[in-house]
Amino acid sequence: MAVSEADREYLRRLGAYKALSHAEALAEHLALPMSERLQRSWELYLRHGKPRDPNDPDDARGFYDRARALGLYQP
Amino acid sequence: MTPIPSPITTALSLLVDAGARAAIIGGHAVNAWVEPRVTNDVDVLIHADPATVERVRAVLVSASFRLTREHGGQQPSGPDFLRFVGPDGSVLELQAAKTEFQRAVIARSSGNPPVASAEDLLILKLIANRTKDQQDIRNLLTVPALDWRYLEQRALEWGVDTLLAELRKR
Repeated sequence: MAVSEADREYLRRLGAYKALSHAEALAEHLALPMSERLQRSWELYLRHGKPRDPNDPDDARGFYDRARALGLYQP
Repeated sequence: MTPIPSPITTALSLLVDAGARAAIIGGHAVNAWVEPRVTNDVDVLIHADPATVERVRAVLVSASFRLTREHGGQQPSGPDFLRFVGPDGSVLELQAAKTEFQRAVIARSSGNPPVASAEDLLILKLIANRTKDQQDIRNLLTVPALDWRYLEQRALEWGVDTLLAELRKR
């Protein structure tokens, strides 16, 4: 199927609309007080969050290992 | 109508009541600066001496939080990391501020409850640099008016300056 320059231009325009839409949503979000932004974050978790994987080691060890290696850790 | 306080707010209040200085980091903090994405854990950086950490632990346990993981607990300065599960199943992870940078993260945080700055979150994410951090990094790099001098200085200190420079070019 041939793709015309008009098709490409149309998709570019759609991309620009989408970027504008994201920029507006971000501006609205940043205009809220910090507590409300966190509330939105929490509500998103309540709607779509999944139980954490018990095997996920996500425990910040990498950060502390690096700090020790660089001599930046101050016990 | 007053919104019901989220566990994020509740947890921060408990930590402050126990005498710790604290700032939210991790996914919920990132969500304060960019369009929110789904994130599970509540990550908090705390600056507290070992006695205060023990008070924090006691306060959380009395609020029905259950300790499920601890790292570095045998050190004189207290643990590096504590993970609690709240009564509603929410996960609260505490990281102790044992570097000058982490203490600066708390000092530079803003809002109520306090949230780490976009610049500090970027440095933390660059250091971690796991797959899930990379999307956060891309998003945080779009935050307007980032303090690039601060970012470059911290990135150099932590050896992530090359990564930052690469990502900035994209």
